[in-house]
Amino acid sequence: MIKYLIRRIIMLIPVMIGVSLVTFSLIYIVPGDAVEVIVGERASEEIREKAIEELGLNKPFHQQYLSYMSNVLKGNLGKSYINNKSIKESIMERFPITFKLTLYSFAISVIVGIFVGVVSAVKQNTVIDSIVRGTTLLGVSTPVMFSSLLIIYIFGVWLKVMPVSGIGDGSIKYFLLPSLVLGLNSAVFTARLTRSCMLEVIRQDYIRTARSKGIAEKIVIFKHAMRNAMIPISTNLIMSFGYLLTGSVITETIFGLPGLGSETVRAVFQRDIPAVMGYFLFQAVIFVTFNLLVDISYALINPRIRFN
Amino acid sequence: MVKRKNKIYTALILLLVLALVFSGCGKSNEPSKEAGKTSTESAEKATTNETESSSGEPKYGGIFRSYLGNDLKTLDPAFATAEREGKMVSLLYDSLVKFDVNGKVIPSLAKSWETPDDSTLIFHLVDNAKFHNGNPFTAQDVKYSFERILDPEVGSPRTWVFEKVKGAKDFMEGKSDSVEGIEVSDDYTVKITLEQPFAPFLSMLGMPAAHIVDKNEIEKYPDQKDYAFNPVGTGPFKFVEYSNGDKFVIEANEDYFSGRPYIDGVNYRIIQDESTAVAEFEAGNLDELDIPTADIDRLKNNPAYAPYILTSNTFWNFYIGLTFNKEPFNDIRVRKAFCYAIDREAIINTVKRNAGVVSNGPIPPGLDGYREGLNPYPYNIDKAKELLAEAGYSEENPCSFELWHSDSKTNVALLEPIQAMLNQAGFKAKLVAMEWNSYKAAVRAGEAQAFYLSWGADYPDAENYLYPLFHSSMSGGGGNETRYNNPEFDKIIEQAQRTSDYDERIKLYQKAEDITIEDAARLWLYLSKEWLLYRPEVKGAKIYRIFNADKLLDIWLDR
Repeated sequence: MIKYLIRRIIMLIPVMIGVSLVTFSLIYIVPGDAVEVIVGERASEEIREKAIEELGLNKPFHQQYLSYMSNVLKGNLGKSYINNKSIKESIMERFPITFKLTLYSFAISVIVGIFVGVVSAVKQNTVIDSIVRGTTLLGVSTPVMFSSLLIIYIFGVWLKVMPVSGIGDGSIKYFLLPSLVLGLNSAVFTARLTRSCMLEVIRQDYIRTARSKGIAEKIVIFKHAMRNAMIPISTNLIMSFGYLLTGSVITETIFGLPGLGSETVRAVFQRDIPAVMGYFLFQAVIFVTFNLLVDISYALINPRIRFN
Repeated sequence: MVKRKNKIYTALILLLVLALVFSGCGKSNEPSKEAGKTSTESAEKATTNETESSSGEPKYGGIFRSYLGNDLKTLDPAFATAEREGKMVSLLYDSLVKFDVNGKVIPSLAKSWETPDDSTLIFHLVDNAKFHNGNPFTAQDVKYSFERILDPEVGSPRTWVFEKVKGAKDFMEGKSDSVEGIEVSDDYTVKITLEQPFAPFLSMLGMPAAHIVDKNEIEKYPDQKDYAFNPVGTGPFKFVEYSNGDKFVIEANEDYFSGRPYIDGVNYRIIQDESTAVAEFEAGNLDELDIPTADIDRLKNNPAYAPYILTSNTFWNFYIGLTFNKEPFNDIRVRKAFCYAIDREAIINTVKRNAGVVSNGPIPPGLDGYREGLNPYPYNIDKAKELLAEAGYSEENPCSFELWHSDSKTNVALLEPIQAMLNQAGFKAKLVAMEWNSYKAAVRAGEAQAFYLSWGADYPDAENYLYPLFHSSMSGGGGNETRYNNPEFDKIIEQAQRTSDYDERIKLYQKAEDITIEDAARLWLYLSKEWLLYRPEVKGAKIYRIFNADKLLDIWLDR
């Protein structure tokens, strides 16, 4: 196990080099640069050239990439081209917000998703099941843009029980609506997955055996069926945490949460190379870590899987 | 039976959910359904550009709650090139002059000035202005701030604001330690000498780049870029806090030299999504809303909001640029055919309806030199076809080209009907959407055949719409992306810049404008309109024509 972990961590190195190289090439190839944003309209070519030189954008690709990477290895992620803020500082300020949002959304997704999925599987082909299937279908097909605005108008504008947007003092109420949107959006998938996994398990012989032994239905469902159904669900959940963590861009923008997602978008649009690189590398590390966690969790939950 | 019942329930639930969804939309759409009848009426009612301030004596106090559409890049005057940063710089700092509601130059840190000859300006400064750190403002600060813009070490993109000052070139090339033409006569008198007469110079002194900074503050930072978010000016508001993606907070400067603002401060939230801003306003959390085009009808026809809406034409002039040194627009007949082929009246009045008015030339209404009734290219499809035929195109051989634009729904909504009209006249236009930064880079590099863009005023002088856009030396990044090059135009606009006689100068501007129109260098489409909505307690708000003119000194809160 420990050997396996070490090997996986060493594997991170080529992955990170790959990610950095691809990201750097992409932003290098795409037309436009940060100078466009910095100098603005009506600036002479001399001033542009000077700014380009200052940022080192006139150097050949490999030089730019190597000098960036050597700084990264020294632990220096650099400063934003646009607002001169340290990238490390930005990540430290913004990541906790994205993480909080993800955590709350994840909790909603897990609780609502699994509960609804199990109920709907147990009550297969009843009214409840139909309602669940209907609403989840609606949920799957509703864009986050739309559901966000809907939820903002209902709770923020008409009922006035929740803040509309922003981070305010950072308290939990500012995270509720965005977490609800993001969490329910993901809960819909969890519910559908849970339902189908549960249905498959319920049809198994050992469930029939358990029932025929006269064990209470509650115990059959929670002890026998759910534990087996949880294997595919749990790995899926951990992956979904990773997706939520890196995929909350639209929600962050609409709800005005200063998380890492909206900041990454800004950096890309303004060709803020150190920022783009810093955020992508950071998010890659997180994503790879979650991949690793998924693999480990597989082994912990399912003893049939061994590492070698 | 059981199954059928299930289906009915499912259908019912779905209906309920849908009803909920659509009641949401329905409510917000209601007013606009009646809009057809009343829109012109209420539009007329809403043509004011000032909220009432007559209801009682102005009160001091209260925090004005507003928002910014995006993060700030800097608060250093030397680098504030975009509109948003420029506005904020003018709240924190002052320049020698400022602009009134209509864009007229009025005194600020300079209480008066005289012009002993055409290329000399003597400014008499106020003696009671202080920086936010307590340091007194003197003529030395003016010299320092202006030289800082020119200093190559600083690398400000706004060197052109002071380039025409005597000795500026020598200073920039390192041949002298100070700019000869900026002289401190005494603590409260500055004399500025220009290389040669340059009429728009006085109004350029109101630009963000000409705002006065304190040397002691700047020199605190070994890397001047670190000054960006530690601004210390003399302005009506002091910097309190800025955090990216979240908020920008400023408070009233109690010691402001011309008297403190009524409000105690401004709390700007950073709200990127305009629908979110609308929701925040409707929830009562903002005092001011820049109404998005899609919401204009709905809000102005809502009696709860209508009395508190201000509207005004802006100085943003939108056009299609035709690149001069590129096929097919290197042929004047093709350029003219392009202009005749588009029914601008029809398109602007339908597509832009509330959001714009037809524009017929570079000089916008509101600036001296604007001529009403100018309509050089009325819609005439026959003439367009004729000109294209003359240029050698035919139905079998249509004039095909690409029209580039930055990718947005509003741009496509405007350009698609334009494309249809062009194709009717014998063009074969292809719309190419690009992401903004890539688009700007490509247009600046002269890669586009035709492109859709706009130009706004840096300072209120018609010269600002002529020299940068059409002078041959401004090719590329300077503003002349079309590579327009006409020595006759260059000569006239240069002459106008040197002409101090007001009437004569205006005549020269118009002559220069005529040349650009005759050459069909750009097709002017429309001037955008601004719609602002305030909460009822906000009094004294005005729409200033120049983007950085409003120092929030008139606004007060009745709550």
